[in-house]
Amino acid sequence: MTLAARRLPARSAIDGGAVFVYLVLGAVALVVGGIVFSVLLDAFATSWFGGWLPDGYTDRWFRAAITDFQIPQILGATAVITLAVAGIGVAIGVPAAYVLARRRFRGKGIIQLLLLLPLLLPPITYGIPLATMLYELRVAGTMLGVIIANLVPALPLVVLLLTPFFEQIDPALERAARVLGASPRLVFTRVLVPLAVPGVLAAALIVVVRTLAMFELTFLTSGADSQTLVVALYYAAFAPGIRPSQQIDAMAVVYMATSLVLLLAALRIVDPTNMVVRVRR
Amino acid sequence: MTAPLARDKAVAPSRPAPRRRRLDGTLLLVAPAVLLVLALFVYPFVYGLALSFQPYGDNEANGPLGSYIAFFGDARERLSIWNTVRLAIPATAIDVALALPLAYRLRRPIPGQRTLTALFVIPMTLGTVLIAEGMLQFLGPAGWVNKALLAIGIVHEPVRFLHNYLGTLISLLISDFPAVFLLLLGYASGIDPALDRAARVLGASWIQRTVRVTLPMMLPGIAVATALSLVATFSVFPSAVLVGNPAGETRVIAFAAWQAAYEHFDYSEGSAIAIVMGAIELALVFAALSLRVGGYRRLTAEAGR
Amino acid sequence: MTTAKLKSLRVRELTKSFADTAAVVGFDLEVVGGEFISLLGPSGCGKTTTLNCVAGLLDPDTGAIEIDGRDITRLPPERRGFGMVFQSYALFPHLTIARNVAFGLEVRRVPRAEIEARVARALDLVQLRGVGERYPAQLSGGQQQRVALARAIVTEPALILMDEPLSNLDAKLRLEMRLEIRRLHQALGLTTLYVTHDQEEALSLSDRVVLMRDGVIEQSGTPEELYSQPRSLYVASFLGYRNLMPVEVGEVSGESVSVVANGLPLTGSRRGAVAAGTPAVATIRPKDVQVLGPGSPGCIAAQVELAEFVGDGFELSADAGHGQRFIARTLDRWSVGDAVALRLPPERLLVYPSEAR
Repeated sequence: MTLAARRLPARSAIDGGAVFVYLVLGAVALVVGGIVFSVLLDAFATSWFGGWLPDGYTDRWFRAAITDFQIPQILGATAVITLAVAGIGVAIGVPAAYVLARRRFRGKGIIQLLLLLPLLLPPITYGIPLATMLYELRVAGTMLGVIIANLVPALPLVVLLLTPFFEQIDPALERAARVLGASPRLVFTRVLVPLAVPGVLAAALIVVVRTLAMFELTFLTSGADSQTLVVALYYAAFAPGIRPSQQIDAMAVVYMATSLVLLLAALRIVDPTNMVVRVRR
Repeated sequence: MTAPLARDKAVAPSRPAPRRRRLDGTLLLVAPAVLLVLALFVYPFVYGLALSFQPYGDNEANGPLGSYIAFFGDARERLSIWNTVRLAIPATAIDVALALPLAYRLRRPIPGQRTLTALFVIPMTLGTVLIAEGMLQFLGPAGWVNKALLAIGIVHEPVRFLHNYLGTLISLLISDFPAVFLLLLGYASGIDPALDRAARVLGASWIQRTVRVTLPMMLPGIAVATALSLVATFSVFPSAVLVGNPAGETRVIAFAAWQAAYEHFDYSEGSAIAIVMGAIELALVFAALSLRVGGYRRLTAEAGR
Repeated sequence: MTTAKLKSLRVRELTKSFADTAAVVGFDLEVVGGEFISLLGPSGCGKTTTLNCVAGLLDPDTGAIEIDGRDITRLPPERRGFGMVFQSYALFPHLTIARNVAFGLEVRRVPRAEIEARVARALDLVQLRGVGERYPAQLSGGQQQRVALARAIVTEPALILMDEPLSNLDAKLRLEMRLEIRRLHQALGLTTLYVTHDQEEALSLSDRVVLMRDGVIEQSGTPEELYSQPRSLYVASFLGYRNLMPVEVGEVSGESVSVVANGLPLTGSRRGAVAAGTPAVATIRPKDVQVLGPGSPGCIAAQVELAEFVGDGFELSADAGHGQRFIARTLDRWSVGDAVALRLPPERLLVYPSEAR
């Protein structure tokens, strides 16, 4: 009985576990896709009375959104707010993250906890007192107020994302630069900044995306000209009066488009799983 | 460039001084962040706390705890805690239970993995408001889901997915799942694959490996994912309003706080409810994180080496 | 799954490829019970892949694996009853040392009392008493290695597989643990398949060494055979023949062959198909190069370029002109710049046919 040269069936990569994964992920994708597509179709529908597809197509809801609902203005406000929050968040958070990554000092643990706390509490919990305080300071209802409010969860997020990022930059690189004669300022501009840019950019994008979707804080602090898209969408959906679903969905499409554009930009810069995944070989 | 070196040599004996200066410079960098959190988070929180002890209107009669008494004394208000808990805990539990086997299996790649994972980030970016709003269309009585169910014959009349507990739960499940999944995937990937191989060679069947090695090692990840998920689900607000029944079964505590402050203009009670909400949520988070104390100590001993 | 000692292990025509690369091709091996076999070679030669196939952690494309005549090729690893020691030790961080060692017994539902006794004995055997209640993270690398060993042997496996277990240890610990492994093998007589890239380890531990290269067995034999009779240039250079000289072949008569290396005439011993006019490579061990005073007859004149003290002698790099350098080991003290004469004994200067690489 020769056992030589017998071809064995290859163990495929698709085992029971993989099937389970495809099923669950497929179901989630189906639901999310279904939501996105029904909204998309409805936004372009003249009306949709119970058939599988809309009764007809039009773009008048989008035009109405521009004229009656001031979508361009809201987009502008959203852009200003999210970019400001990301910019300030990064400006303050990057040095803090660097320090936390590199140095040990007394009270470091407390500071880390302090900087993490806003992420652990519901936005409503600190949002209501914050909004009240901003009202007293007469910045509630303005863009400044919205920006300030959204900074509270944004800053900890920046620190949380960038601290491990800076930890990963080999401190020996900085030391090598110093030994080679670079002043601390040169070390910063020639060594650290180039290495830090991708991470900082990624963090900024994540803050923009998150602030875009962040509802409660903007809801509590915004006024008529300082709404972000998501709050405007909420009001459209929840406002009293009969408003055709098509109108609401048109606004939803604008929101989705903005969000997806940002998402694609983010995906080109960073692999999303890498920000969360810690891979050990 | 020998001159600077000579200078350094002369300075060398007084090295302790430069080191102290370096420490001050360091602190400055972290100061703005700390100041911001103190000014915009801690201070308003303390301010809100103080406000909650200054009851307004009728509640003044009950002394400084008037707002709290008003909240806990009213059956409908008290119910908001239960309404929130019975949404948050099942949503978190289901998402974690579903994401766990997925994350573990995906340590070994499957075809099309990157596309699938990128697909997740989409609901993450869309946010709760859009998911809820979109559900109005998709899960409505004339929406595609009901149409499909009716066409297949599983039901004889449209299922009520909206404006009730179910709608809010579904919305939470969808919004929360990607984050839980990505977090667990991160932890699962950090588990040394050699451990599974070692367990196999030692004779452990799939079930034995899962119970004795995989689950204990995933415990810290499960604890963190559960805690962070609870933070999100417990804060439920827009979906409870849009696809829930905010006057009834999904009158969540966030809504109660908002209503007190913005509809009744009772900022004291609003703050009080917000504080209660925060306290309960922190308790839940600590409970979840305590899961990891057992496995945590041993695993962090390794990290400390 | 058996507690009896194994009588024979046969691997036949094992082949395994990944994507487009053939990691192992046509691997054949017969092992007698109680033997210590090393799979030796550089990274990528296929030794670890072969080991993983024997363990059952990888499915071979073709071929068969037999234990005592029984075909186990399709058997999953958890049913093969082998023991395995990993390069990273793979100790379960969430279990105590005692539970780690007991793992294999617990999953087989061995009674508690027996488990305790066997674990204690295994820890004794690896000279680790009293650490049962600690966790892996609290032990040093060497101690973790011993725990990994104890865990592998406590189940009294038919076969022990070791995947470069000493690579992560520092030099001193590596020597210590090498002795440990040798001692254990003598005491327990367990059939062992050992993977390493360190030729010293392989030569000192094994009954037989299998040297692999690019997925194929280059030479297989006892340590003495490989050491003194390397079959090819590759084996020779892997086993310490550090002087490699491309040469032109002159006359061949029987075993003896005259060659010219960069203008230097030498006489050496023929290994393989070496013929006049064919390209060849001559090689000799540093310690076979005799370093004599200048002007000695029949030797090559050279000048010492580098002299390194290596504890039990000196390692010299000597320039013999024509761009030819020799590395030599000698007990005598020489300094840089000294003129010397090098004698290359013909029976130690091996000449191999050149390989087209």
